[in-house]
Amino acid sequence: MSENEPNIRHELSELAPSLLPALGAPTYEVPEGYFTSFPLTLLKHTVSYSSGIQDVPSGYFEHFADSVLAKIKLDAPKNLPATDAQPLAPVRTIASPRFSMMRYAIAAACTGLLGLAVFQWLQPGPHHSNDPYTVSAQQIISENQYEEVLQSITGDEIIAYLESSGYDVNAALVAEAAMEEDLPAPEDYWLDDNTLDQFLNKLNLPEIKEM
Amino acid sequence: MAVHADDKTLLLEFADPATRESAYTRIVRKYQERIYWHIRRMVIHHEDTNDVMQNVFIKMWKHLDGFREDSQLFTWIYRIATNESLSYLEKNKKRNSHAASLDNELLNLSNTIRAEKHFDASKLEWKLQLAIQQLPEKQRVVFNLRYYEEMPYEAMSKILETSEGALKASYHHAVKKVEEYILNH
Repeated sequence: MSENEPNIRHELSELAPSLLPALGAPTYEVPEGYFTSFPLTLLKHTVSYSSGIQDVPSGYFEHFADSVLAKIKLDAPKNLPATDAQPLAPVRTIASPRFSMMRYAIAAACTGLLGLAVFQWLQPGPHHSNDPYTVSAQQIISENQYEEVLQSITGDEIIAYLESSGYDVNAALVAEAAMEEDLPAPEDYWLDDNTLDQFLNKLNLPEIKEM
Repeated sequence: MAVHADDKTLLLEFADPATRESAYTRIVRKYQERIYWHIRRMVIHHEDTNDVMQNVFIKMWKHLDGFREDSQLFTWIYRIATNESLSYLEKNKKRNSHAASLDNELLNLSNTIRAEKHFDASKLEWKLQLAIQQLPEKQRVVFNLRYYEEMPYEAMSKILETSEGALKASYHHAVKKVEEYILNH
């Protein structure tokens, strides 16, 4: 539009001559190569927009499984199979499912005892430092062993604890295992006496079968 | 300097699926710098300008099939760019509306200018930039199109869909305000 320039300059010289020297002076900076790369960047956007295809980095799906596995290895190396040569089968990670709820229940009881021990320990007056709960609690607190203590509780200890506490072990085992399975519908066991037997068999509780 | 094909040829090529993408790229190359500066002088920051640029040219891709050839292609793209820039500024204002008054908005734009790499408060061209930010948005568009792009009122009238007389008056007011700001700062 250079043909209009004299006209504009003339107009400006009449209106505000002080603005004339700034005409055409550079101000803002543009990143180098911006105008070279812009059309190509834009084309990628528009073509993927109109075709409905979204960009996925090259090789993303080929390497996805490996990258996830590497992350798992990094986060929890001890949970992996001993050797990488072992075939990887679909794994459902269940750590003693039948006892998991009870482990937490007992842990809650232990925590209660711990809490009581800590409470007693914080009270003014003489501490019963020889009390086995207090000794045990102090050790767990000082060594930050909550998780290890929780994991170290075995199934037998849970059963022993339930028996010593007066709980019905069988009922507790069934209740625990039933959480993993769909319960039969009431109309099924009303109409068929075998339904509950079949359900108990399905739960596969050897402790109950032995009794 | 690159030689660009005329708009009619580019539009014909765009209409043909076989040459659509290459025609689009050539249209972008032809107009990108003018459109960039038009937007940049409104939104100031390069990253914001880039966002608006993408919106403008994506809109162009979507609607170019329906473009009526009774207006010039550059007029049409400028109109999109002007509307997109004003919408962008409006959105920014709304985003900050709970905290920002008009004064704060002007302060933001002025601070963006002061943060520019080569900013020099003693130089006329930078004082001019600060002065332009004091103008109302539509007056700013008119001032920029006339002062920097030396656009005839007739073309401006088609882009902004405003009469030439109103544009002349608007430009005159803008120039006076800018001059006054520069003399006082």
